[in-house]
Amino acid sequence: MDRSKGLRLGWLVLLLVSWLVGTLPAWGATPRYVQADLLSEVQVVQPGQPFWVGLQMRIAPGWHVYWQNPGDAGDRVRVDWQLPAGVTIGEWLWPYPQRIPNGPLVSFGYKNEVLLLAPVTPPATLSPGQTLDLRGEAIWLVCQTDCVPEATTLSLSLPVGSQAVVDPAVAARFDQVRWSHPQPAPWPVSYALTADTLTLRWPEGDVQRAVFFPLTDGVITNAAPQILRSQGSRNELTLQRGYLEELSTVEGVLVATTSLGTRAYHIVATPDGTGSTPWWQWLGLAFVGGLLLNVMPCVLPILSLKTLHLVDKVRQSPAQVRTSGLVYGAGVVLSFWALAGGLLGLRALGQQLGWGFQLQSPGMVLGLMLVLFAVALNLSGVFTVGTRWVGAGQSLTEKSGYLGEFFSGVLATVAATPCTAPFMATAIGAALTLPPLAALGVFTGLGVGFALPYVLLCFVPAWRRWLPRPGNWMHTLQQLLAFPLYAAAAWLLWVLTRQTGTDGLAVGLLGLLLVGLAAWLYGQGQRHTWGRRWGLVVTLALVGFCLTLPGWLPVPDKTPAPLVTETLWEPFTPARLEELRRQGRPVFVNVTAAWCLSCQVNERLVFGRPEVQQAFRQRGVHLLKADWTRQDPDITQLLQTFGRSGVPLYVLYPGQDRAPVVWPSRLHPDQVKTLLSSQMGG
Amino acid sequence: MRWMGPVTAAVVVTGAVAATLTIPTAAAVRVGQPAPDFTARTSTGQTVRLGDYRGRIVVLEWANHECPFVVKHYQSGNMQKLQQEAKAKGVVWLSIVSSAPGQQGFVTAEQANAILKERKASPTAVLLDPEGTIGRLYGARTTPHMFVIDRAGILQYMGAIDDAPGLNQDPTKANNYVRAALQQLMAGQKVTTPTTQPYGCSVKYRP
Repeated sequence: MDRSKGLRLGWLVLLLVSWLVGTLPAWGATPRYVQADLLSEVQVVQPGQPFWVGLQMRIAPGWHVYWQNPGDAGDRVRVDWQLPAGVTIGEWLWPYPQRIPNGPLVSFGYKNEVLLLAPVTPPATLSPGQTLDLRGEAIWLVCQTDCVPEATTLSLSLPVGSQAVVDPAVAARFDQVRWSHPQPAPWPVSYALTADTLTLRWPEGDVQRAVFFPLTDGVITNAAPQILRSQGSRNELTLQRGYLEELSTVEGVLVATTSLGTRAYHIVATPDGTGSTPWWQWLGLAFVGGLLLNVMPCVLPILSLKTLHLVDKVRQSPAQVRTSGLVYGAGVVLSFWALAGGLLGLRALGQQLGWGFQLQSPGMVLGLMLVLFAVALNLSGVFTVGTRWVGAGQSLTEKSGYLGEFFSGVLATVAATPCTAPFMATAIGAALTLPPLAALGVFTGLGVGFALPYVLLCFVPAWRRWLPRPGNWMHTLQQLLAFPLYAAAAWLLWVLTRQTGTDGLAVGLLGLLLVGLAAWLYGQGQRHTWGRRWGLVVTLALVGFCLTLPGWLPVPDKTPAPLVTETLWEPFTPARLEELRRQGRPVFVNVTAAWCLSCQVNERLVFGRPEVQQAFRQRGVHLLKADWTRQDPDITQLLQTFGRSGVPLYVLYPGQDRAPVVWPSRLHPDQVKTLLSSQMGG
Repeated sequence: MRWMGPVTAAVVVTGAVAATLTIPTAAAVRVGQPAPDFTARTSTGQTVRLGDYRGRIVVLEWANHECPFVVKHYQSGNMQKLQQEAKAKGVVWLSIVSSAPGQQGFVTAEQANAILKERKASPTAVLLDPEGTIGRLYGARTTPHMFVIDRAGILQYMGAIDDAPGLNQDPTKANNYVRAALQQLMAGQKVTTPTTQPYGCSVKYRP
C-alpha cells in the first residue's frame, strides 16, 4: 500500500469518527468529560415559596465549558426545561469566568468545576404530599483544544410540604458560589473610545488586577491584552476594541482584585470621562453640600457671630457691606481652593487621603483647638480684635475690616471640615476621582454654597430687616456663643488625647494655658498703658512658643490602641470582613472616627441603645467597627469602595453573598430594625 | 465649564497615545471597510487571489470537518444547499481551512477533495491555510465563521451562519444570516444584520 492510500484509509476512519462525534448529541448518551447534576437548596418544597436549584458541572482536567458569552469560540451551557404547569424558573446566574487562551484566541469559561444557580418558583396551588418534578435537557460544549458536545437529562423529584426544608449542605455550597456572582458595581464606570481602544474608568482603591468580560461579542478583541493603570482610586483598564463600529452600551463583568480580595461586578459603563453623573450634577451636589455646612454645629457659632457683625454694620454704606460680603466669600472660596490644592497635591503623591484627613494629624487637631480656644476667649471679652486700629483712620479700618472679613471666611472653612454633611461627602468623593480641574470645580461649588447665605444677606438689605436690631443683647449673645467654641475646643482636646494619649493631653493643656495667658496679656495691652509696650511682645512670644507645641506631641502609636472599648464591636480588618462574608454571615461595618461629631452622636444615641443591639443580635449580624481616627489605608480604601471619602459610613453586608447596602449617615434607633428587615428579608 | 472640553480632549488624546504605544494593534477587519486581500493555494493546486474576484460577491467560510458545529451544517445538508444557491447566482464561495498540521480539522489537498466528494459540497474552492495567515488576517475565530464581501471588495457581513447556535438546533429551520446578506446585496440593499457573534469550535491555529 502506498503512502497516499494509507492516508486515504486513515482519512476514512477519521471521517467515520467525525460523523460519529457529530451524532453524539443523541440525548441520553453518557457524557465523558463533564459530570452534571441538578441540586436543590430545599429537600421539601413549600407551595409558592421560591427556592434555588444549581447545575453542578464537574469537568475533566484540562477541559473547559463556557460562560454566557463564550468569547472567541464555544457555546454556553444550555438547559431546555420541561416543567410542570405553573412552575417558573429564572435565568441562570453565572459565576465570573476565566480567560482560557488557545493560540491566538481567548475563550471565557470554567475549568474543573462550576455551579450555576437559578431560582425556581413553584405554584402556590401545590399541596403537601404532592411531588414537584423538575426535568430538563442540559447540553453543553466541552473543549480542550478539540470540542465535544455533551448532553444529559437533569431531573429532580422534590416532596411538597407545608414548610420548606433547607438542605444545609447544598445551601452552604450555594452560599459559597454566590461569592463569585457579579454584584452591581458600587461605583460609576465610564468608558472612553478611540479608533482602536476602549478604556474603562472606575474609582476604587488599590486595584491590583482587573479583567473585563463583555456580555456581548465584538465590543472588545477578546484575545488582546487588558492593560490596567491604577493609581489611588483611579483605575483605567485599556482594552482593544472589537469589530463593532458603534457601541450602544458597554456591559459586562469586571473582575477586580484588591487587597480586600477578588470581586466580580456587573457593570454598565456610560460614555465620557466623568462617570455616570455629569459634572454639573456634582457641582450641584457640592453647592447644596456647601449650603448645608452653614447649619452644621461646627460652623453655626461662627456664622451667627458674623451675622451679628452684619447687624452692627447697618451704619456702614451698602457698598461697604456688599464688599465685605464678597471679601468673606473670597476668603471661603480661596480656602476651599487651598484645601483642594492640598488634597490634589497629596493625591498626586499617591497618598490615599480623604476629607477630614487634616484631623487625623494630631498637630492639626492641636492647632485647631488652640485657635478655637483663642476665638472663644475673644468672644468672652478677654481681648478684642481690631479695636486698636479703629481710631487710626477710616481707610485703615476698612482695610483691617476687609482683612478681618477675609480671615473669618478662612476660619469658617477650617472649622467646617469636621462636619462632613452627606452631600459634601459624595461631592468630595467625586472630587477625589475626577480630573484636577473638575475636582477644583467641585470645591468651588462647595465654597460658593457655603459663602452664599452670608453674601446674600450683605447684598439684599431687605432680608437684613429680618435680622434683629443691635443692642446690649448682642454682647450677652456674643459671650454665650463663646461656649459652643469652648465645647468644640474641649472635644478636640478629647480627640487629641485619643490620638496621642496622656502625653498629648499634657501638651494640649499646656497650649490652652499659654493661649489663655497670651490672650489675657493682649487684652491687658489694649486696656492699660503698661501693657501696651510689653503686652504685644510677650503675646507674640507666647504664640510663637505655641507654634512649637505640635513638635512636642508624642509620635502617634501605629499599633491599634484599644480605641474600640465596647466588646460588642470587633475591630475592622479587610481579612476579617472577607472571612465573615465568605462564611455567608451578615456583617455590619461602622466606619467612624473620634473627631467625627455625627459619628459620635450615632454611636451614643443609636448603636449604644439596647434595642438596637438586640436587633443586630437577633439577626446574627456581626458588628465591625472601622475607626478612622488615625490614618488607616485599609479603611480609606473601604470608604473609596463606596465612593466616599469621609465618615460616617455604615454598610450592611446582608450575607449569603448579597450585595452590600449603604445606610444613611443620620440614623434613628427605630430605623435600624426597619433597615435590617427590609435588607435581610423576613 | 467651557474648559472641560479641552481638558477632556487632552486626557483622551494622552490616553490614546499611551494606549497605542502599549497595545500592538492587530488588524481587525470591520464591516464597511475593504476586505484585506490575500493569495492562497486551493485543494486542486491552483493559486487564487481575492482581488481577482473583484466584481463578484465572495463568501468566506471557515471550516473544520471534525468540528461538531461544521458537521451539523453539512450533515443536515444546510451548507451544501446554501453553496448551491449562492453559486447559482454567481457568488464565489471559498471554504478556508486554517487548522495547523497536527490539529483537529487539518487536511491535505487530497483529504479536502475527498471530503468535498463525500459531503457533496460545492464551494468554488477550498483554500488551504495551514499557517493560519488568512485566518489571522480576518480574525476568524470559529468554525464556521462567515464573511460576505460585496462586488466592490467591501466587507458587508461577518459572524455566525445563522441564529441557531445550539448543537441541538436545526439549521434548516434557522434564520440564515448569510442567505439574508446575499439576497440583500443582490437586490442592491443594505445588509440589515452586518455583524453577529460567530459560534462553533475555535479555529485550531498553529500555536
